[in-house]
Amino acid sequence: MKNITVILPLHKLDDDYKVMLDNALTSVEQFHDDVKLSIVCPSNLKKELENISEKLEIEIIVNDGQTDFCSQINLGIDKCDTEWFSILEVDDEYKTIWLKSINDYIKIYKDVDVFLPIVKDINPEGKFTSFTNESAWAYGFTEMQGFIDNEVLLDFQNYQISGGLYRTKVIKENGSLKENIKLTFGYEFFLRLTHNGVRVMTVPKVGYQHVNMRDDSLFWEYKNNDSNKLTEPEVKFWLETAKKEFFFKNKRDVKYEIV
Amino acid sequence: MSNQENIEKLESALGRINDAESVVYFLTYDTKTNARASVKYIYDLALTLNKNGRKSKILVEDKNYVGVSSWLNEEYSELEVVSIKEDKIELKIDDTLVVPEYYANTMQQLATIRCIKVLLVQQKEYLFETLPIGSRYSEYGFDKVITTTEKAKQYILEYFPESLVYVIPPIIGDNFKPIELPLKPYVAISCRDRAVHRKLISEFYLKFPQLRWITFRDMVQMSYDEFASNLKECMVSLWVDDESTFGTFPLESMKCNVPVIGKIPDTEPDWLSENGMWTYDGNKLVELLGTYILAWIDGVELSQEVLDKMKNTLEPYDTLKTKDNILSIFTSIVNKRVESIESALTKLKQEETV
Repeated sequence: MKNITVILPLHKLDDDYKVMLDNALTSVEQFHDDVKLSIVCPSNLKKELENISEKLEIEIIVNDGQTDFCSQINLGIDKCDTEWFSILEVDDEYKTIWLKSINDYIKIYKDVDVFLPIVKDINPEGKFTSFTNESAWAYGFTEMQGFIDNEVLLDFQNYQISGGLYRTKVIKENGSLKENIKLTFGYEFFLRLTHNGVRVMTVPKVGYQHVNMRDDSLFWEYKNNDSNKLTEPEVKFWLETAKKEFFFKNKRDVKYEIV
Repeated sequence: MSNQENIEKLESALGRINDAESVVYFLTYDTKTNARASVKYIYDLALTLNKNGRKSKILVEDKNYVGVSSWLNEEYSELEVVSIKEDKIELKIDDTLVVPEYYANTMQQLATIRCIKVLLVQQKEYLFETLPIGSRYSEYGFDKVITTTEKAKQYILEYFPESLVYVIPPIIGDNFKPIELPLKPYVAISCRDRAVHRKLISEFYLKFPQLRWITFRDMVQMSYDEFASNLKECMVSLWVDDESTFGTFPLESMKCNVPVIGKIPDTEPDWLSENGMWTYDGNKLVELLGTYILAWIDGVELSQEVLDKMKNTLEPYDTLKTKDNILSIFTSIVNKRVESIESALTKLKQEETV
């Protein structure tokens, strides 16, 4: 019985994406006994994705509405019927120890609802740039080493939602990602979870590899694309917005306005 | 003193030995609430004897002695503490006095005391510190020595071949055992020299900035139980102690299945083998540590072979074996005294009948 769904959002499938997707799927295939895959994508990609892996149990969830990252993930969560789910970005991959290391902790920490791996960030050339999620283990950083708390999050935003393992029921109760919050939707999500008493733990093993600033990625757009580029005041605005909005389970209208 | 009085004195000494009334005194220094493996060693010897019917007492300089209750568990409180100044202990010929090398300066004063005298050597480097040049401990009646390693024994026999040297390794407590929880990204660090301790941590964070979130646990100022519970959740131990004779910390780590990265001390421990990541070059420690941690967070686990080697290393230091060893050594020491008393008695009695 598979009790984990990996949700992979996809909005297009050009040649570059095919290479990335193949790599991402290979990383999931190593857990095919325990994990099923939900690819959330526009209907025009469905046919091409149907037989994409022989090993994996795959569900294609068609989304012809908003195909931004958050909306796709939310749809995946909504359709998820397993105890746990994880989020995989198309250009990322799970490391071999992802499942084993998280399982080691699930067995012991039964009251934890979110397990984050240490994420190894690499640049588009494949070179190591940094770790993410690891700071939860720094001495004196959080109230309890290894766990992320709301107070710390108010000062420190750098946590990665992809690659984490989430208890589906708990996330459904607490609300999913708010797509109307640009840039800081992940931050708001963690603030909301910790504010509501959800225990979030970092497993001190590198379980996930994330490509930072890949050309045409959402965050690359925010930083480099003239039409989507966020200015300093905008970044600040979205951080402040996340801090105001995490009290609310569902998204509310957010009007961008620099005072 | 007449022959008859001597005979009575010797017979009463034999009687006290038979009735287990003779006392083993362990001269002990005050660590002022600081945990010290060397003092725990002394308390372990005393407690093992006491629990097995050989009356043992801790002998201290004066009543200002703070004791070990803050860092050793309650079990040790059964040992009576007596002071030289206030309690005015009278050592009889059937009593035993164990003097650690720390108090070697007192041996000259103890020369005339007729009890069984045993020198306890945990740090052979300190052996000559207070001994007048060219002198021997046996000149003061200390011809029996207890030490912790075979290498230390060889060393002692090289310079004091007249000594009878016994080896009793420290007891690695049973509270050192692997935890069932996954290990945490902590490094248990134990360095004799605080400057080295600081240097290693600084170098590590500078050389591996991506690992600044790794915690170094300073394994000092803890009770013995706290020490064990802190140690067993660490992913690795880092040990630098050039002067170490035995090396308790690495063995405690191994007993918890915590691998050790360490600099080989000036005197190689008896147990040193491929049971850890060892180097003679202290400058390589940080590189070794960083490499190990990066592998650990990537999920590399210790091979069964290494785990087996760690386990095998501990076999000779099994608590029960060590306790049996303590008992048999002290029995042998006392038996030698019994023999000499009996032989003196025979002589005296023969003289009486002549």
